[in-house]
Amino acid sequence: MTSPERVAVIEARDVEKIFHLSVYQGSLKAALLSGMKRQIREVHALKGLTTSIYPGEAVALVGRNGSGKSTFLALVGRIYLPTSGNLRVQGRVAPLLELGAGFHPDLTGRENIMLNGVILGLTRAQVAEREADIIEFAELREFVDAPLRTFSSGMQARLGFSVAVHTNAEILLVDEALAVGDEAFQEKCFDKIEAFKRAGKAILFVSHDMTDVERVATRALWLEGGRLREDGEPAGIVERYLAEAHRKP
Amino acid sequence: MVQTSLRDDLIELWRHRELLLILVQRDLKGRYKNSVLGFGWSLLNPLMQVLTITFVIKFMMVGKQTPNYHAYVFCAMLPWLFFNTAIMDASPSLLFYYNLIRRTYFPRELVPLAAITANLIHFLLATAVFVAYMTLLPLFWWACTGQLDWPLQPTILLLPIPILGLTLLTVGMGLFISIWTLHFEDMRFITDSLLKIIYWLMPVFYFPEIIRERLPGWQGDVLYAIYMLNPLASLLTAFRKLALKPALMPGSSHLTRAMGPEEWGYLALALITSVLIAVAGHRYFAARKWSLAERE
Repeated sequence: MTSPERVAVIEARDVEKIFHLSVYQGSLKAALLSGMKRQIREVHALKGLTTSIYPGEAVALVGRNGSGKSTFLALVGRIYLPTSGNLRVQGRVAPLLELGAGFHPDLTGRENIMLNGVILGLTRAQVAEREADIIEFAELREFVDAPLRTFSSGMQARLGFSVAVHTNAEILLVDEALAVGDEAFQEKCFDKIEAFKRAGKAILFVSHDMTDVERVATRALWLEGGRLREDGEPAGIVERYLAEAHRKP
Repeated sequence: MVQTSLRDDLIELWRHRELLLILVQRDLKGRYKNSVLGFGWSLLNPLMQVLTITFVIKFMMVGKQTPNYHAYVFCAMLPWLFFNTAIMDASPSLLFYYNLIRRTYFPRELVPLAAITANLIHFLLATAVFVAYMTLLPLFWWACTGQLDWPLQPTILLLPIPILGLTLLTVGMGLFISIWTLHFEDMRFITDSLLKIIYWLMPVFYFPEIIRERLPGWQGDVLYAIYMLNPLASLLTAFRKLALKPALMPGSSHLTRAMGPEEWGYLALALITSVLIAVAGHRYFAARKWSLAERE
């Protein structure tokens, strides 16, 4: 599975994440009412995770809600920092943005490609270079100069996927939407993901769709309560995970 | 809390300069997207305010009229409006981009900085139009009446000094306020109210020398000094004094002071204060930027 001669792109050592959530956040009135005392609620999302992820791997994170899957994904994406432990990420990371996250409804499809591409770390020149490929892949030729708000949700999702896979990131992060669009487009997404793996890039994804996990993943990490419960072959983990989910719903 | 150094943060910002450019472009394009006049509003808005103020003040003024009074109002109105709108835009900027902040990494400072930069560009363009107008207006009067009254000063070339100070001051304040607004959305309305009050306290449609005029002796000197300790008041005054010749104050027989050692002293002090506020804003922001995405 993990070949020791290769260098890990993601190396986590005892990664721990505690969120300190202030209860009053949002309104000044609430803050004044609580006497400006910060009532902090601690959420222990990750309780020491150790793992290494290598180039060419497609790693599925499985587990119940609140098991720390998305937290780990966000830590790899530098959305926030670990509370303790060591997390080393080698190479450029491209998160597959959720529908509309990096998009602006009033800008055209083309302008949104530029915005999204630059957010994902490309230069403007690089985005311009890849623009034709991105539009081609997303099958949006005749719509690309219309404002994004005129796009259907499927069109937006296709555009988002297309931009993310056309960045030259070494690590692709996907939260929930591994393949988007209709049946035919989903097949294109899976092909692209396979190409990504063959190119020696790493994919780290969170999915509750176990068919996707078995189809795409080369390895699965089963998280439970912020800890790694199992690490190994996706098929076996999916089987045991589903068996347990059905036993205690 | 993770504290990063100013130097590291500036390097990181430089690496993401293309994103800053895109965000500024998006702001500039988005602002006047569906308006007919577009950038014209950046000029029309101050112009209408200046004309109204000029009309009202001239109507109320007794005694000798201030020649070119509207030019002096204009000259302070442009930097004031920059400060005002940049702060109002920076304040909710992190909220507007919160979706993106929760999902991707980029230096968080970019968001308020882009809001401020877009306003800085408008301000610089408006200032260029103002200078062109102040060049053409006396020529027009000269052609009509044969008298040449040239209000622009050669020191106008030094305007980048107060512009730099004002930008640093705005960045510093904007960094603080954007964080506060993210945590308390009421801050937007508090900021709006405060700015409306601050406007009356700033020397936009009057001259700070009026303090010494109305309160002669040491009390006036002390009050004037306290007034000028405010970097914004000092920068607006320097802006006016560097660009235009001394003005006859409304309701007075005295001229305002030209840039002298005392005036340069106040400008230097304002620059130092602005740098300190910018550094404090950075430290405050840097200590909190990693926990921005940790809200529910």
